[in-house]
Amino acid sequence: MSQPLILVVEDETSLLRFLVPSISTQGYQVLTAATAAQGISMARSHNPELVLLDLGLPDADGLTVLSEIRSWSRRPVIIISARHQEREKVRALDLGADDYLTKPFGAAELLARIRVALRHVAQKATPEAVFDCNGLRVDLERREVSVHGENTRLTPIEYRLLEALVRRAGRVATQQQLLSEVWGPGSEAQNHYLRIYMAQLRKKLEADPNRPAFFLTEPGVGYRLNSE
Amino acid sequence: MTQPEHSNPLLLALGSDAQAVRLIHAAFWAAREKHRPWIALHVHVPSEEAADEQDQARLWLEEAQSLGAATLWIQARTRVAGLLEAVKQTGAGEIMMGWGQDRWPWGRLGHSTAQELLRRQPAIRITSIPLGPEIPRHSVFPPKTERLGALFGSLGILGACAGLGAILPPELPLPAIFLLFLLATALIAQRWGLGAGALAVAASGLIFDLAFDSAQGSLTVGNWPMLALFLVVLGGGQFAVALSERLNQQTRASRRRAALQAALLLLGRNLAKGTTHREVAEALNHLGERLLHRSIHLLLLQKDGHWKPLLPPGPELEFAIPTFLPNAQREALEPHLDGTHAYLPLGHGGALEGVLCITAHHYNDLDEEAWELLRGFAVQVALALERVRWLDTAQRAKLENETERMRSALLGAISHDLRTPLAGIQGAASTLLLSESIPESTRRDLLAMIHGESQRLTQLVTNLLDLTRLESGAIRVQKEWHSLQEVLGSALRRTESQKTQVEIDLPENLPLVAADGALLEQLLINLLENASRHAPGCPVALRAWTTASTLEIKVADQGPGIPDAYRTRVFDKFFRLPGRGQDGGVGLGLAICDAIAKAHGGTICAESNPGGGACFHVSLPREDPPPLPPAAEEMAP
Repeated sequence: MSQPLILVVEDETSLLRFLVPSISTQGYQVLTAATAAQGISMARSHNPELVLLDLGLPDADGLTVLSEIRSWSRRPVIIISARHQEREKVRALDLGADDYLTKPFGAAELLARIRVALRHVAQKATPEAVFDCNGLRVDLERREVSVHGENTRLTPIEYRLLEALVRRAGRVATQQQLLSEVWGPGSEAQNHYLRIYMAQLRKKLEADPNRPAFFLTEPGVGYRLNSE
Repeated sequence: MTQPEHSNPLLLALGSDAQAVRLIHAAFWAAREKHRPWIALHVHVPSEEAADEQDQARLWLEEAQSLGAATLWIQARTRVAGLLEAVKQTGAGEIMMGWGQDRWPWGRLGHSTAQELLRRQPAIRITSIPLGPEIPRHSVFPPKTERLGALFGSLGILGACAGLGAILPPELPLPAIFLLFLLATALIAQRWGLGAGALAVAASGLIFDLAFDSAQGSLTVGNWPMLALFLVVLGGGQFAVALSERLNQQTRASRRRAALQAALLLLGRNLAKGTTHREVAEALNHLGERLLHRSIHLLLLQKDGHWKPLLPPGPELEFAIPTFLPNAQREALEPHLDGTHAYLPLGHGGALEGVLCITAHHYNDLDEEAWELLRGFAVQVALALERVRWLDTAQRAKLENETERMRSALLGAISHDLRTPLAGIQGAASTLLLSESIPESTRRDLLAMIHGESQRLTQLVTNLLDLTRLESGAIRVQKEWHSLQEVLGSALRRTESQKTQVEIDLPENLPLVAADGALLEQLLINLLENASRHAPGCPVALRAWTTASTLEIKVADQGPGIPDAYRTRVFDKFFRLPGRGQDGGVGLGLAICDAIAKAHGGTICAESNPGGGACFHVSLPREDPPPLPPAAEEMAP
């Protein structure tokens, strides 16, 4: 287990020609599968640290591969999707995918997503009680929030929202996940709650709420707490 | 016969009767099909033709003329002589004429005339158009009720006479009663015809003999001279009635003929105005109501074999879908009777294309004149439909031209915009592949160029796809509640690389708007990119506010601005302001903005910016957002 093993389930050779070298030069081992069936069987036999999964596969929907993997493994899965696949993307995330990339994407973006996902696995083993990045500090144990050393008071809902984002720091949190975690199951349709409270969080914590640096919007999907 | 086919005119021999309409119709189609001129001819034989027939023949020639025929009027001693004279004058190689059972006269030449003609001019080709038999006058719809009515009516009248005779003072002489019966039988004969009259005579004789003759109650033949007188007087009366009736008929016929001509003229004028099938149908229906007091409907035969009525059915617009199967054998203009409706098929080049459906509640007054008028209508309608078809074709051709022009402009723009970055990428990549000793700085430059150009290509393809999907309706606007600030933040992040300074003026507590987040973001991105492209280095001002029913956004730059003449055209696909050269845009960004604004039920327009530069004003409809969640637990922790 010296080098993490990454399984790439992708059928487009031109994309593979770019994916495989960019991943392997960063010290990861790479395995590739071109179909859903092959992807599932290789995930079972090799148990990779991370799966890059394209949603459009020739033999089956990428979502079936995802739910198959999720039936026995909690290891990170990053979805690769085309534009205009917002719904599938959101469904994959709600089904337990960890993050997504939208084609076309660059190598830097790809490697950043892989890093965050693998780091998150490591964090799960020993959860960090404090998030500290770019001047935003959230102490989950003491329930304290500060920006550049200045303490900020949040309402309970604002804090719960922030907490939910911090626990996914660097990864995307879908609207459904946030709504159900903050307002409880059954509030998934009330996305206007989310808009209002995100605006309040930004107003209290961002230097310029018009150009958020911490709370990034993932259009059509959800939000991401910037951890880079 | 040495003349080339196309210049060789077609000669159409016309008579004076109504069947000429069919001949004109047939010749019109034949001439059109063969692209040949045609000449309508009438041979006037003075000894055989009455004045009104001449008038009628002239009318038919005029009709033919209105359909593009040249006309010829030849006076001759015999038909054959006239026809030969016409052939000589026109150099025609082919004569079309009607052929039918009736003796009557010009439209329908018997075999003998054709044979005579061929014998004397063997080079001529004769095309005979079969004309069906005349429409039977009354036999089609036997007036059953009429017969019963005649019987009961006659009996009633005679009974009344007998009753009157019985109550008359007995001093009155028998001849008085006799005259009474005479009057009654004359009345019956005039009302119900000669047959009824004759029966009435017999019946009156019997009654008179039984009831009023000297030996009352017994049947005698003693009064036979009286009976004979009865018959003679009745016969004379009938003769007079018949004479006046014939005179009446002739007057009526000539009046009706005049009416028919006027009606056809009227219809022709009305149909000439129609440019659509519906207008043709309306003109026909209108005239049918006015002239025939019945509803005439135009039904067109669809390609799938169904009949399509051209006017919506209503209480006054009645029709029935024909039950007969549309087959090619059905002769055009041959009426078909079916239940409570009559149909006149309309042909086009031998194929059935539609029918006139005529309501016929009182069949017995749809007589030969009415049918003639209807047939005239049918011919006119068929021609009007043909005209509509040509108009349609012309219209479609024009539209196709336009589309083709658009398409080629589009293709030109796309291929140019696709090729330019591809050429760059190809060149840079081949340089990298070929030479091994490229200095590191050059290598990086080339790679940066490949990266940049491929991004531009991606942008172009994405824009094209977006626009296509928006315009084809493949993208459905999925409205959700959004904060403009958030959408704008996301748009700013995606346009960060352009390093444009954006001054934002959003009011505090701008309400949420129901919009498609991705599309709204795209709209803002396109406006920001547009501004930074046309006014590089200048700050862009973005201002938003709400009214009671709208969200208003203005994006203003300080670039060269948009000339007034192009204010609306800047939203056209692939439109680029002339004289701005290659600025990296492909002319799709604003077209996408326009499509997005419209998809939201809003508008976008280019306004003049008081401070110079361009200003785009977006206005989207807005509603009040739903209430917030209960704030009971919203206390400070």
